[in-house]
Amino acid sequence: MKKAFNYWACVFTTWMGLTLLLQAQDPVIDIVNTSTGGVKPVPIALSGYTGEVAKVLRFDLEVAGFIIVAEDVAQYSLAGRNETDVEGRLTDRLSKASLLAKKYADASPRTQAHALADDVIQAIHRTPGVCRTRIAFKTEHGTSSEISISDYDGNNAVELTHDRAIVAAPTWIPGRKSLLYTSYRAGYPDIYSHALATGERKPVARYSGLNTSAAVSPDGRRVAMILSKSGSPDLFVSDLDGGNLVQLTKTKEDESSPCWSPDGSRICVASRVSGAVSLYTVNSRGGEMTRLRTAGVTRCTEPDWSPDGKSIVFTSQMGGFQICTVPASGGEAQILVEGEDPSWAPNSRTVVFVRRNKGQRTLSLLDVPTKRVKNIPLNLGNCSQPAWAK
Amino acid sequence: MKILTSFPVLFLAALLAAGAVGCKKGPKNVTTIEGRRTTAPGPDNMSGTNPGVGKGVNNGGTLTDDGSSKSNNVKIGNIDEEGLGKRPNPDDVTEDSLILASQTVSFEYDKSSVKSSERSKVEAAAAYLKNEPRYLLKVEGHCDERGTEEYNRALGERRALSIREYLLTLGVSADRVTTISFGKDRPAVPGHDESAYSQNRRGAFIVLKPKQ
Repeated sequence: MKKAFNYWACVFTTWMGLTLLLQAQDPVIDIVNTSTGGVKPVPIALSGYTGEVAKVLRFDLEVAGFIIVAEDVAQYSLAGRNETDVEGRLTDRLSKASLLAKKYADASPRTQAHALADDVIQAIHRTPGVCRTRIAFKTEHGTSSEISISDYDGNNAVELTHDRAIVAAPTWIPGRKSLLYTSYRAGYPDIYSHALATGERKPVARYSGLNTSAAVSPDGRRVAMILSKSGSPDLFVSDLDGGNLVQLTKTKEDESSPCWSPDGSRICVASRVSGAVSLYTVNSRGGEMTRLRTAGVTRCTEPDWSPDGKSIVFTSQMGGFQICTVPASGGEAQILVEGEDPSWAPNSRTVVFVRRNKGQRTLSLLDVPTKRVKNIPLNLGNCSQPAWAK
Repeated sequence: MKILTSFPVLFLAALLAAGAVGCKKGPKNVTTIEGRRTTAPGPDNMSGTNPGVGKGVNNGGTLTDDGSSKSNNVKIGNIDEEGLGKRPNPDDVTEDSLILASQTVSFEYDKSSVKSSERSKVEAAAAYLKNEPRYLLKVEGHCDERGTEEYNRALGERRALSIREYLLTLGVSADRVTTISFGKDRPAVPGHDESAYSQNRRGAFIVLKPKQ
């Protein structure tokens, strides 16, 4: 997806001296910002861009932990133009060093702008940008709901299902353009897989009772899910086609929302096994449930393991809903922002989540280090359960 | 009791139609695919309306073909191996949500056990089923909007299962009661206050009347 089109790189300058400059740089983003409690956003100036390209660059960079400022107070300067194709020169204003100079082609202005933003993010954060990734989410239509997919910023949204039933809990098969989700289309909640390229849809689990909350292992081979066929909602794992089903938890109380560790060895799941709902991990091949310590917060659900394995993002319910993170081995939880149902981006930095205002639910993007939030500005209707494609 | 005895027949018919019957060993050892519905599935409401989508969802009789058929067996009948009632085919029954509407069970916040004050409603539903031996029952579990979404879907199922467990202790046959959870997707009333919440935390009885 990152190389969905060809672009010409490095038209007028090169990366000469870049390595030296990066070594000399002050790690500005590590300074704590007192207003949000997060690290300070990186000040960057934009010049020469107009219309949609300017809008896209601004949005992408703000989501990635930058703040757009005037030239004289900026640490970095991104200058360029977009009369025809998008061009960009990124300069470190302190050292005057050129960090990037590229011209883009063979794609829409919007995609070119996303590609430039990704390159800027890579040059400064030294981690790949996520501006050309996609998300899936649930969209409500009265008493029914469907699954939609869109760019990470909500653009190019397409409704994937037309079941005229409740369809919920979308999740991507890692590395593939396929989704799993729960649909009530046959009268009961069942799990289906859906290949985007062919439209082919296959049932994965249709047992008596509840079949929901599918999550595919990072190698794309196994599915964790919640089934109630045993008499209570428990955690199960099967092959991607539903075969070789194994029951991992056998509690009287209910489990929900499993997710996988990036190495596939463990599954984190919410459970009420010891009273108030909290997070547990269990070996994905079977074993005891181990409680994940989330000091400082209670009633934890909806875990999502970061792709780098370090952190689990989840929802805590203490009055309202809060997006929190905790080290994957457990420990002190950090409350980030009000919201629910978080899903990590592939960069292990950005999180898409749901904000509620009375009955209306909208999607927002959180930059975890700076704790800054950008609402997805499009009116996509009542949305929830976002899942970031990885 | 007519409908109960006819279910296995329908089941076999569905399997034969799907062409996936391991009948060679005789009816006693029919190998079926775990998770497959006991009767023919509901209509494929997507076909024609959404080209390219749902091609793989056929009539439901050939669910998860080779993958699970190797390893899993289910007894023929109206109860699966763990004792949950088989789902009736929505096409074979008429749903009546009004007959037992006054017996809708309410739940405490974040709890799934049937309160003692609500037991008489479950008992009334059990008595109704005793008088209407042909009818089946679907128990719907619902939640208020205060939990997270999939948590509520699980909680709603737990609520429906609690009601089902009580029905069974009252002598209702396990094969007559199925459960479904709607989480917070189908509130009884709109609103975002305790009055709405208490009405939305509920277990509703849907009587399923077999079509002739």
